[in-house]
Amino acid sequence: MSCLGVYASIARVGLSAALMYRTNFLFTAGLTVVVGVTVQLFLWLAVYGWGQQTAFAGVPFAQMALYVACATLSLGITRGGRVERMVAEEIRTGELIRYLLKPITHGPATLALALSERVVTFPIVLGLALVAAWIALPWLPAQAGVERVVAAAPFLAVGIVLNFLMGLGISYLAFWMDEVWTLHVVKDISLWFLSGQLVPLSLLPHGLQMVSEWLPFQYLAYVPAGIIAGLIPVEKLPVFALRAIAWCLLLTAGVAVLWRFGLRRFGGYGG
Amino acid sequence: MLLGLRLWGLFLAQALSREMEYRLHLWLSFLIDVVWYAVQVGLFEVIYLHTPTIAGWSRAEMAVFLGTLFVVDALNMALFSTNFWRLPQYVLTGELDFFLLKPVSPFFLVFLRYPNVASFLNLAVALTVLGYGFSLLPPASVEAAVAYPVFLVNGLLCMLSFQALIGALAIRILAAEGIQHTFHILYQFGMKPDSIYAPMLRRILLYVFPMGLVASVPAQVVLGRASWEVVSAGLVVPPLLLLVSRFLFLRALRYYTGASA
Repeated sequence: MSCLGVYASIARVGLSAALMYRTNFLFTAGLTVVVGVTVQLFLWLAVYGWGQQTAFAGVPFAQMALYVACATLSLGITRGGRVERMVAEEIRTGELIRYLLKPITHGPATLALALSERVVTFPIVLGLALVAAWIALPWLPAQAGVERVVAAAPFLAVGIVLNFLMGLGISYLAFWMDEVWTLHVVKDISLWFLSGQLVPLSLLPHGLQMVSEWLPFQYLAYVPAGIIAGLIPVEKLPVFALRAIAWCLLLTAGVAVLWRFGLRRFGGYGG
Repeated sequence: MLLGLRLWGLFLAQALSREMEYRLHLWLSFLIDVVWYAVQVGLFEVIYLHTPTIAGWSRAEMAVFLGTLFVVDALNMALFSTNFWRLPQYVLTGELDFFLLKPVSPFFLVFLRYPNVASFLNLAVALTVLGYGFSLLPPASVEAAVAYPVFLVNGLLCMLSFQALIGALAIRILAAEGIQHTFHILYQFGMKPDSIYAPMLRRILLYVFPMGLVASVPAQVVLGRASWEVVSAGLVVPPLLLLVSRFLFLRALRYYTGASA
């Protein structure tokens, strides 16, 4: 079997496993997005004085509403899941030895499993996006074209990979620490703000905005949603793309280093 | 009542000695809520950079609202939350048997068995945010200051009631994973002042699904801006909700088949 075929098989197995929890996934993912978007829209409606104020920090309400919906959906798609967290548990219990005995590389195998898990949540998020788009169609700003959605799609894919790498890196800390789930929770909570899901990063004070531009978190929500809502000009996309690729490489290298050093500390028995 | 307090004192002592063994875990758990507080404060601070009020709430009033939310949340985390997260697993593994066999109310034991020590530390941070909010405003009236703790406790009762209702559901449908998330997802409605919502939704958040009573109503009371309707709802609904949720929880236990089933 070719190398790619092996990981495709792993993804298929992961998909079957993820489908076992499909009701749970669909319910949680769907409810998270619906409630998240609803609360955020009410907040921004209040900020705009229920239509009395046409623009806020230079952003018209329709554009902000579109951004808020897209940012919540983006984070819904890119958010890390069960798979990355399970790695820490496998390290702690010694189950990791199953991977070490097989002719596969742990990182790509976990990525295949993580992607298959996202395949289960993706249709519900996409379905909700389509319903929201259909409802909001008359109010959507002119700049929300199909071409913007197409331009945002690669950044969403990069966002998934970046979040996966961050999650995997945290789980690899389990080689040294007893429990790392708290770090996963801290990461997930921080991402609400750092990714721009709660508030567009362009509204931050100038200094913080400059810092956030160099961090990887914006690719999880702000960049894809900002492209669709027209908050990010198309001319800036090549710069964002280069930085995103640089972050992917940097995090991949970091995770590889953690894995290499972590394995030296790992002791597994049986098989 | 006295027995309950003594028992809870023992639970707290056990939790404390457990946490002292894993001090890093204690500090990391503390960090989780501090980050959550920072995210909530950060959201409103960024918005207030561009506008003086949100739905009639100034920056100082919002600090009081957030402080109130954090205090109720920290108390909930300290007293009930850990137990709530464990409940579905008790049901699935049959561990709930041990709670039912003891000569104490199962409701008391299930929701208060494991206090969370880290959240008592978070309470200090929450009180600091609340104190900061109050320092920016003129002193509250005596009546408001006296009523405020009562509404805080009622907000906490609402949190417990919702968790008990979801706990009852977990027992009935044998759901092991994920059902607790429902509470945290719906809790988002309570994390913003209720005046941001449409009038109909505001009523729902007051009477039907009273998330507005968690922080919004106590903050309005202490700021002296609560209407009589809001005050009445804040006094009557939480105890009623607790009675109903306790009844439903104990009733759901009849459907629990135990580890041997």
